[in-house]
Amino acid sequence: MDGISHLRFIIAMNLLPLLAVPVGIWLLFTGNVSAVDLALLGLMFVVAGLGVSTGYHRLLSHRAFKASRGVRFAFTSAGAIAAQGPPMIWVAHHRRHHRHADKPGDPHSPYVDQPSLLKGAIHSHVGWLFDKDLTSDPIRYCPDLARDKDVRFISNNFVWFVLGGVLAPGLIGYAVTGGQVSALFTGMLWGGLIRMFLSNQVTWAVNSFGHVTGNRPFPTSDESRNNWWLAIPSFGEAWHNSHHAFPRSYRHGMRWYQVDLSAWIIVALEKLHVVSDVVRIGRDAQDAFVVARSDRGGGGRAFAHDVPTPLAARQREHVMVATDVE
Amino acid sequence: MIPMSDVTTRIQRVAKGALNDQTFDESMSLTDLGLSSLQVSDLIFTLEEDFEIEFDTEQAADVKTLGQLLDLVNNTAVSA
Repeated sequence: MDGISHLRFIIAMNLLPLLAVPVGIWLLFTGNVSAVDLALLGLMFVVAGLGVSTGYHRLLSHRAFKASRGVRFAFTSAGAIAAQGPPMIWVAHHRRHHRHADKPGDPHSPYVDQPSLLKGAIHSHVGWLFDKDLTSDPIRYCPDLARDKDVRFISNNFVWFVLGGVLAPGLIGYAVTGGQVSALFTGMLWGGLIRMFLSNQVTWAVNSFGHVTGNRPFPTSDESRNNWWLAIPSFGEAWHNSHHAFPRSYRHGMRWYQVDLSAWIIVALEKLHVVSDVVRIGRDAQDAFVVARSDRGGGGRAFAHDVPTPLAARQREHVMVATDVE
Repeated sequence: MIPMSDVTTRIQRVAKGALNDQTFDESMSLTDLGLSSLQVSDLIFTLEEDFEIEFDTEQAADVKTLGQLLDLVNNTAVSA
């Protein structure tokens, strides 16, 4: 999905959830929201949020752990439900973001070719999605996923997963209320469209606030930042500076007090032997990262990237290093 | 030697019917045929699976035309 068809989809996937929000507010103020509606909103927010954070991001983009085919399919499907793009395209854009972070080539930097920081922040939050000429070639950025039949299937049938993610909460609402037709529609509204609006805002805030405000414990060669206030709704994605320092790490909150729900899920699944080969970056490697860049001050986009060889050009005997992207 | 028709039938398949009446020649660019980057990668890796070959991904990413794709498939098949 490129060009005009991509643009149409982006407009629909932004406009419909946006239009649903005032309807939801009106229902709230008129007392027409049930506990079932709110439970469906919460349930679907968690499904889509973990799908994006644990699935699309940590499992697919950065290979932070391995999972069986069924678990991989489930996480990828949950990510597709979030309506942020087919997995192959989402991952291609994201790996490209890491390789060119806050430099020319970054698909959503607030700093590249932007007239002001405010306009840059808006571009990184949502504006970049409307660039119909933007393409990140999956063959170049994610050949590993393009060789995965399941990921190709979900990518090719992405729209059906999105529609399923809207219909499912409606059907659940209909079933648990004993067949109320109104619950079918309000379930789709709260668990589908309004959930989509909220979870999109959270992901986009990681791209915008995560490169504009917050602290930078690791002097990366970009402007990535940690934002504690976004940690819980983003399932840990908001520890964005730590993530840019160590992209393959299963955890983005590198300290025990940095809440990272996605990392907790991965550890729980590892203990249950559902996932394996979890990539851990030890405290020594974290300290070494800071020491090796101690002459940079706080780092930032003025410094050249030192990202290792892209996956597409990598030899089979490549040994993982702490700063690998994929 | 893998004939062009083996490749073009797969192009028609990934285009989901949009190119069923299309006539092909080797100079045609895959993007000019209307294939998205997602469809091109689907095509490339379907060819890998169907012909049991493994492309050099950097070379595969550089393919622009139907002729270049056919060359990539045949050169990879010969060296496999």
